[in-house]
Amino acid sequence: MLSSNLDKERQLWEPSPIKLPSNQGISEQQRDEAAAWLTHLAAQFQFLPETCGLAVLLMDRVLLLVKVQAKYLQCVAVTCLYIAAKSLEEDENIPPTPDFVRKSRCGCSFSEITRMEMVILSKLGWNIHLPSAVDFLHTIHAVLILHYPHLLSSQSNMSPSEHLSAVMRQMLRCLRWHGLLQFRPSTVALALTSLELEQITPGWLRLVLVLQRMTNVGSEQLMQCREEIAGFLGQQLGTMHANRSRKSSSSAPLSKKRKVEHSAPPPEDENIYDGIKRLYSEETVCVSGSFAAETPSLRTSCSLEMHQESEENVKSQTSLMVN
Amino acid sequence: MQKYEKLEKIGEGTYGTVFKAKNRETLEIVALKRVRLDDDDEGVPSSALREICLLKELKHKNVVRLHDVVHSERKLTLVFEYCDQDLKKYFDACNGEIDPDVVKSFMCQLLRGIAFCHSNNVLHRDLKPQNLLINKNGELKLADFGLARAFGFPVRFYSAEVVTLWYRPPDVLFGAKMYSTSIDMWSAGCIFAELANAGRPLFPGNDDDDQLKRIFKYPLTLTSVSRLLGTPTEDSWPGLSQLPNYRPFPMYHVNTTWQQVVPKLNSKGRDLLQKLLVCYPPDRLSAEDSLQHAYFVDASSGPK
Repeated sequence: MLSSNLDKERQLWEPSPIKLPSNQGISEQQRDEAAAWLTHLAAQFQFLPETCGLAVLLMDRVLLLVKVQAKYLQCVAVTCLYIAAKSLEEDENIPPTPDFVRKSRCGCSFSEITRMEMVILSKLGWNIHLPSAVDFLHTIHAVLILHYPHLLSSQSNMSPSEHLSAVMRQMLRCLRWHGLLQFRPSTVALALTSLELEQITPGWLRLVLVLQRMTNVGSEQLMQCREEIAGFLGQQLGTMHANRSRKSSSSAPLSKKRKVEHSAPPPEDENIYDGIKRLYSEETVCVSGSFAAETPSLRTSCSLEMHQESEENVKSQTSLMVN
Repeated sequence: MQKYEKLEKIGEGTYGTVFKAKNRETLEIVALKRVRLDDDDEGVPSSALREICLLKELKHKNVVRLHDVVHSERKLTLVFEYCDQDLKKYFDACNGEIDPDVVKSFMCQLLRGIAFCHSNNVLHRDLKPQNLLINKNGELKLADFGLARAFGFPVRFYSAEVVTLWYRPPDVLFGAKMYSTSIDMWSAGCIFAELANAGRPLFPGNDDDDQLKRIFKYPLTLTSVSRLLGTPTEDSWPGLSQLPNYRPFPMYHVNTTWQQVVPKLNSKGRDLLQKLLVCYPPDRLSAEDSLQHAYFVDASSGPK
């Protein structure tokens, strides 16, 4: 799965310039506000972190491809969330459309969203199954836990799911930072993982090297991305403390042009992780059942992946050249 | 849409009408699936959205090819390759007789299509004869990906409202929401038996309860440790009683043998069938492994 997602990333991902295109009507700050708003909305609707990751990724793609006026940014953002939800959530988890429009307080009508949906889908050529950093984080974390089951032993009884939730919280924060748009989603996921590993195990460097080989992420990129993330998360931590002491909300995510008030404070990040908790909650059943059964094959496929990696790389490069 | 000349209506799909049509330039015959978009509705239906996104990525001989998506005012048209009929209609027309080589060829192609989907991390979740298309060259193709979805890792909770009743595995009938590729393999087993019996469905249940009863009255292998029992127990299926809709069933007396169930299928075929119709999901044979089964060894089985 890791390799197929990496493959797809190689085919579909384009680096985003550090600055948004100059003809773009959206500033980096506006983009970050919209991304933050999406992570809050996703939590409010209890969508999976994957849905949130995809929604932000889609929004960034659209901003890269199309000149969007600031007044439409919210409509673009909320439509990306709607598309991501329809594609990744089960139908029973997707709120009925009037509810979706009302609860998102997006300030646009439903027909505006459906029209925007068609525009976005055709602009993206219906290629919306892009692997996001959230997907990569999920896979990388699973690979780690399967190969190094004792990894978390230093983390006073933290279960794999609790640990993933904690890292995922940081990941969702990273989605709000335009500084990371220059990196591939897989690089962002690996960089965040490496920062986390550094905290929990003295042997982190060796693990990161293994993961690097698996994901084919270059050292220079990884280091740059690590610094970017560390800087951003550190700064966020600072702001959060500062804000807390001033008792003001750290998240006023909306563009000022369209004043849409958030009457309710954004739900705590913790809510986002219901999905993850659900995911691992049946761990006992899971381990005795399908999970355990799948482990051996996964092991082999992981080592295989490393071998195939270089081959696939060559293949995708050739196909690029052909195109 | 001027590109296509509509010829005739073929049927109603899950979310739209299907027409046979001809490409005016290339004269190629195609199938058009039309989706109405109403402003006050849900926009692009989620099933159509998923089908388009998934099929754009799934290009395989045994998966129906999506050529194009055309958007026009209030309408979305999916342009598919044309197939003459589906397996259901094939059954209706076969007069209770399907050549064993054809059974093997169809089964092999079905498994290849499933293996391809699974290797691309896609679950179909609605395999049944109506959703398997057959063209005049005897090629079989998986179609209707409206319920399909990309699956992530690790497995997580999905909807239990999937798969048409007759082809729904016992774990999903008990409300299991953590399933994976094994969900499609049960359906494949049911279709295999139906092929071998020239279109007689294996478990034509009326409701969830009836469906489970019919399943448990068969001499099913409950786990890989071959235990021929009717009704599964916690021993043969760890975690069974914790499934959301679990309810105990009486121990049915099994008085049929596989030989009686699928009399025309040879012993290798019966062995494969038994390995697909395993109640305990992790022990169900995968599509990839099924293709390596001795049943297909002399596989002059249809087009590669």
